[in-house]
Amino acid sequence: MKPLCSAATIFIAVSLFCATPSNAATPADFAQWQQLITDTTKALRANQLPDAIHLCEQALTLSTTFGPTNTAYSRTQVLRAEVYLWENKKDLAEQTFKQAVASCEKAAGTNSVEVVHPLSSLANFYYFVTRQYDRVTPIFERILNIVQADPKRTDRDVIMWSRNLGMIYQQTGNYAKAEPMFKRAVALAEKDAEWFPHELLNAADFYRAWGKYDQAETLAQRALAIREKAMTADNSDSQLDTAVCLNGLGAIYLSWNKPDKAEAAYRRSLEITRKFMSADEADLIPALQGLASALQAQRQLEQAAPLYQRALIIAEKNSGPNDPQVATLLANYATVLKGMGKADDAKRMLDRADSIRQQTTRTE
Amino acid sequence: MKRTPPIVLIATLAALPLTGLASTWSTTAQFGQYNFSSGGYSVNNDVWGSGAGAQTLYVNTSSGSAPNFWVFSQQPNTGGIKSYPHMAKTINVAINSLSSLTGSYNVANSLSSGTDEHDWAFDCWVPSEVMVWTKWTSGVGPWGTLFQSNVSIGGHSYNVYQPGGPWSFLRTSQSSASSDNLAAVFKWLVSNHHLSNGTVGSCQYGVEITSGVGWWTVNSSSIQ
Repeated sequence: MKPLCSAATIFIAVSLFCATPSNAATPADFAQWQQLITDTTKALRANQLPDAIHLCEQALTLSTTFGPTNTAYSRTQVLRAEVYLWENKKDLAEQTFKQAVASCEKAAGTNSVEVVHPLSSLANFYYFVTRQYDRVTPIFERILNIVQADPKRTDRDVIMWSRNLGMIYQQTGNYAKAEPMFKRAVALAEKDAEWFPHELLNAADFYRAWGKYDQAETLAQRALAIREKAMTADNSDSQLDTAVCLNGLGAIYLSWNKPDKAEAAYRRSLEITRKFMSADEADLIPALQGLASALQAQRQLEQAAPLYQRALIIAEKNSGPNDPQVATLLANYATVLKGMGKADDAKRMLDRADSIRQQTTRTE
Repeated sequence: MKRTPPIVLIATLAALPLTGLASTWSTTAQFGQYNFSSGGYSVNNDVWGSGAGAQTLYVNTSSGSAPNFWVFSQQPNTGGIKSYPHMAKTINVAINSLSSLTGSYNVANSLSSGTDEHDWAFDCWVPSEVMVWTKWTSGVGPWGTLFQSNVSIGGHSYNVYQPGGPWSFLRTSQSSASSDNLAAVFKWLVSNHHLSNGTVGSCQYGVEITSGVGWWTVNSSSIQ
């Protein structure tokens, strides 16, 4: 059974969506309802679950008097569903999220942008609580349609929902459907200097996962060119942005079986991050691991071995000795050692990797 | 809730991980809290979740400059966060007046049985809620929608999730011993118009425990 989302996350969600007064409510009623919503979230923060339930039920009752076109009832239902999650009543939570969608549709119209809130809450439930990605997909499709039709939409709204829908398609193996989503996100982001390189890299990673490496490379190179142009010596984040692009490019070349190009990308990434990052930061692991893999693929085992060693030391420091990431690095390191004729050392690494994996399996 | 005075539990020391013979305060109280006499930190047991099991909080009382605390927590394999043992500090500085605010941590956990699901995270009120996740197990995730991926902020890369829920920043390279530039995170939110220039109130660091039986240890932690 999968756990719920981070608990602290629930508090603010409702208040953010409660700021708009509802048209049929008297100011006094609406103020009272807002107060009940605030008090419910306060009670949750204060770990007073029975009080939270009571207050939320009061808010629900009050919101039914606000008239047929008011979405306050739906918003309160979303909060009630979240309180059900706190009570660990998942079935009731799901049912109430669905009811929140239905009542919002009735109040504001099936295609109103108001419906995005209960819909995305329901999608979050399926994504984070029950891990039913197939149920997330149609909800995201519907949200994107609503957002696109909203005259007040921003490009970023459409970019975000297009890309996230693309990611869900990708996650469920539906690459052909994902592609136009990533393409749209990139096309819309082209006018947005801040978001464009991010969306290029997201799309590049999608094409890498799909095995369309030439397209992946083109996109990642474009992102890299933007990052390089913006990189300055006194801004470590601009340098990290460039290093992240180089890591993405390196991953594409590794998947593409072009280890020499991967090596160059990862070496440059490490060279950049070395200037501002301490030698034991977890952010170094992807480049170290990638460079080691690139060298291993070129049979340069003597060079690959110390990189795996260093990645291992950093991973152990940052994740602990029994982390799954450590097991992966140990297994990779073992293949290098075996190739170097150090069968005993390789076996020791593999045994340790197996031991970690067994521990992980036992506790899951 | 203020608990005084600290209790020295010599008998428990032999069983405790990663600590020397320091004075140790402990509590099994649901919302037990220890206040350090200097440094401005408190440490809280905070067992609030539905169906939560027992949890004992231990605090090294001589660690006021960088709280060292640990819990033995016994949480069932059911969904939902059961507890958030954490240290807390009140900052009370406006975001645009922050010259720096760095959260540092060195943490570990050791499971005896059950399914280990947890996340280590900063939880700050500015005054709305902002979370920075530093390390977590595969079965937990932030509530919200992926807003942007691989955003470089203060020297680390994050995936950013937007409301419903608080703004959440998840490290792309997780760590159990590192530091995060919290001021840079808040300033990123302000500069991108996701947050007005509010006052940073309480900042906390700890572990949201969903399930598992074992020890969760903060070897050291600070927000300064």
